[in-house]
Parts: sequence; C-alpha cells; structure tokens
Amino acid sequence: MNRIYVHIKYLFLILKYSLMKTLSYRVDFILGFLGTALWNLGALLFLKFTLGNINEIAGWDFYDLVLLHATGQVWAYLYFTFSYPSLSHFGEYINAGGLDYLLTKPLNSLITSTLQSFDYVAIFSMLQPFAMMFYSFSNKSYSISLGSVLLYLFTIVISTIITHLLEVTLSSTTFWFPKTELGGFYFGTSDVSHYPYEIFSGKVLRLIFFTIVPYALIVNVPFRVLINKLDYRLLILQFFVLIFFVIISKLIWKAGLKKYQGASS
Amino acid sequence: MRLVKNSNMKKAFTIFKNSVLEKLEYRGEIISGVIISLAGLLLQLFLWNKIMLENGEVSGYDYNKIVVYYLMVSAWESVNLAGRKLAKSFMRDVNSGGFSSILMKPIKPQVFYISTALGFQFVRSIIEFTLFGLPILININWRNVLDLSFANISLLSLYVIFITLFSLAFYSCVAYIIFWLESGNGFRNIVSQILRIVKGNLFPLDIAPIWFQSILRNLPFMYMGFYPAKILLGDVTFIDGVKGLVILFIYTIIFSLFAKLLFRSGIKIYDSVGN
Repeated sequence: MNRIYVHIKYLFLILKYSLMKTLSYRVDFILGFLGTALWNLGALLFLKFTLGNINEIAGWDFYDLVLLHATGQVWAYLYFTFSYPSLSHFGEYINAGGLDYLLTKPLNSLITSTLQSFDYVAIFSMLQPFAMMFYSFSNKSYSISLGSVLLYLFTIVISTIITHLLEVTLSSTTFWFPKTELGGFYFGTSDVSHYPYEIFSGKVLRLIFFTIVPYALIVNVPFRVLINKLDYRLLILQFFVLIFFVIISKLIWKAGLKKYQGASS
Repeated sequence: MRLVKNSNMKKAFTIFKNSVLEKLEYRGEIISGVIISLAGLLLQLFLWNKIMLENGEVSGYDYNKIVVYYLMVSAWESVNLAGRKLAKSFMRDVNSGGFSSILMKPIKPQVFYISTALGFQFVRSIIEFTLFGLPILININWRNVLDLSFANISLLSLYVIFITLFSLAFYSCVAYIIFWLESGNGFRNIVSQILRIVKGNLFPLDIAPIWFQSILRNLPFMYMGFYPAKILLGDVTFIDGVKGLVILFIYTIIFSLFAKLLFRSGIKIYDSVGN
C-alpha cells in the first residue's frame, strides 16, 4: 500500500513541476495552443472539401466524422500530455546512459522512465475537440446518455493506456537497436485511427488493425460508445488488448534491462 | 576580392561536405524515420480506397492518381528540408547561446547555416525520393499515371532549384524571428501547420472550392508541393509550370530582402551568456 502511495505522490510531484515549467514559457504555451488549432483546422478542411464532393464515407456524414476526429484529438492530447514528453526522450536515456540514474530510484523503473514529465499545452488544447463535438451535436441529433458519456471517458482512458504501453514496447527495442526510431512508430502513423474502421476490409487486415496495431480500436470504440452505436464485443476486445500490452511491455522491458549495460560516468 | 570570394566558396563547400558525411553516418535513423512517414501515408490510402470504391472518383482523381499524388507530394517535402533545417538549427543555437561560437567562425553565419542545411537536404532528398518513389516503380498501375516527358522533367529540375532557394529565404525569415522569442518550437510548429494545408500535403488543392484555390494561386506555397506533384501527373501545362517558377522567384527575392532586414535588427538585440 505504501508503495502505491509513493508512486502516486511521485506522479503528483511531476504534475506540479510540469505545470510550473509550462507557465514559465507562456508565449510558447500560446503558440503551442495555436499550433494544435491549425492542425485541427487542416483536418476539418480535409473533411469539408472531401465531403463537398461526396456525401458520406462508409455511411458516416460530415458531422459524424467531425465527432470521430474530435474523439481522436481527445485521445491524442491525453497521449501528448502524459506519455509523449517522456517517451520522446526514452531512446536517448538508453543510448546516453541516462537510464542508470533512473534505475537507482526506489520506484518502479518502468514508471519513472516512461512518466517523467507532462505537457499542459495539450491539456488546454482539449478545448478544441470539445468545441468540435459541440458543433456536431448542435447540427445533428445523437442519442447520448449519461452512461454513454461515462463509458466514453473510461474507454478513451483505456485507449490512451494501450497507446502508452504499445509505445513503451516499441521504444524498448532501443535496447537492441540503438539507432532506430521505432519508438513513436504507432503514434506517428495513427492518423488513420481518426477514420471509421469500415475502411479496413478483409479478415486478416481487421485482425491486425483491431489487435496487434489497434488503429481500428483506439478511437472508434469511444466514438461509437458515445453515440450508442458500438458492437459491445469490441469493449471486451479492448480490454483483452490492454491486458496483452501490459504483459508484452513488461516482458520486453525486463528483457531489455538485462541487455542494458549503461553508458554514463 | 575574387580571392576572398573563392575562399568563402571553398569554406561553404567544406561545410556542405561535412554535413553530408555527418548525415550519412546516421542513415539508419533517416531511413527508419522516412519509413515511418511512408507507412503513415500508405495507411491513409485505406481511406481513399474506401472512398474510391464507393464513388469511383473524386474531382478527377481515381485511386491510382490519388496514391501517386500523395507519394509525390510527400517526396517533394524533402526539397524544402534545407530551409526547415536552417530554421531549426538557427533557433536552437540562438536559444542556447551556441550562436556566439558560430559568430566567431571565419565565415558569415548565414553561409554556415545554409551550407549545413543544404548538406542535410542533399542526403535526405536522395533517400526520400528513393523510398517514396519505390512503390510507384513497383506498381505498374501507379507508374502508368506518371507523365515523365522531357518538358516535365526539365521543368521539375528547375523546381528543385527554385523551391530550395525559396525555402531558404522563407525559413530564414522564420529563423530570425527567434531574436524576439523565448523559444522557437511553437512558432515553427505554427508555420509548418499552415504550410501543411497550403502546400497540398493534406489534400490535393484542386478538390478545394475555387475561392480557396484563387487565394493560394497568388502565394508561393502551392508551388512547393502541389504543383510539382501535378506536373508529374501531367495536369499542368508547360506555360503554367513556368508561371509557377516566376512566382517562386519573385517571392524568393521578397523574403531574402526581408530576411536581411530581420537579421540586421535581430543581431543588434542578441546577447548570450556562455563560455
């Protein structure tokens, strides 16, 4: 119990210091917010112009796709806030020997290595997808309940944890291949998650994209939960994918640590 | 006078050569980075496949044409890498105080950054054009969409030079803004997000409404990615291709003059603490 308390305290301290750091660079904070707004503008223009020529994609209209995109952004900003700031330096720690220092801490080394700082710009950028959701809701009626909203929040957190663990697994390959950029592969190629999973046709493709590289699962499950259009077997699948990545990431991390030799002075 | 010029050229070439060698050392990293971009791009094609299956074509693009468009527009990104690299390195050095050591070198700092960035672009362009071009070469349906006439190839060779020069001038302006900022990442991100839209990386610009296209036609950015890709698809006449080059040239001069002005004012307020 005491061990869990220490880890929670550690995470709260990181939250506090990350906020102080963010507020020290206020101009950067505003520019970062504007950057994400422009990213969203680009995605909306893409949808608007493409759907200006056709009416639907896989049976989903413009407002559905805006809602799906917004859900994808909530997931992306959660990942950018909690996961990316640490994982983007993960390879460096291993290659430059910074991991030595983290391994000596009386905390779980996987947690301290992959959750070292948080980025608040992304959290504030969350206002943008919420504005997009509001836009969709005010233009089209959806059947939404309190239960679906709660389940939406739950599934999106699960999706973020799956992404974090998947990226940890990929980043851990640095122990064996120091000069590759495999860490970041999943998130770097995940724009496709923002589209309806019907775009993946064929049993083999579906199997791959619903489980091993779960592009079809991550954003689509929370989105469909929210509008009450989910095949609920996918919820169970999401849970199994989570368990799978918990196990895989721990195994690879442990194997990597055995291989790690340290490089610092 | 001529001797000094020759010596400067020699220094610039040596820096360029060193930059090429340095990048070649990290070729594994570059290749894996490009493969990630390529994988992301190919995954997007699932969406287009679905759209084309349901609609046949969109604004004159069938599936093969849209695939080649996206591959080519992504490959042409590497032609403006020199500018992006220049902005990134310059902003980082001014921020960290490392710019002071560049100022002490027996070469103009602008020439130093441009030579380094060109070396970087040289290596990346070869790798990116090879990796993005490979799927087109392998797939005959995609290859057949290309229009590789002599006129188009000549035009595109000129586009490589004009885009490189424009991107160096444009990103120099972006870089020198750092004299007035506390960090460059946010500003650079804003610029790259805007360019992603107006260069045609997100969607072919001719699927957009006419008003949107009219605005972009008088700006230089669509000629950096969208136009070269359309030339390769055989959708741009030779005369229009030349017009694009003229627009790039005019904006290169405007941004070069502006960059000069920014550097002169910026260097006056630059201070650093270092050893």
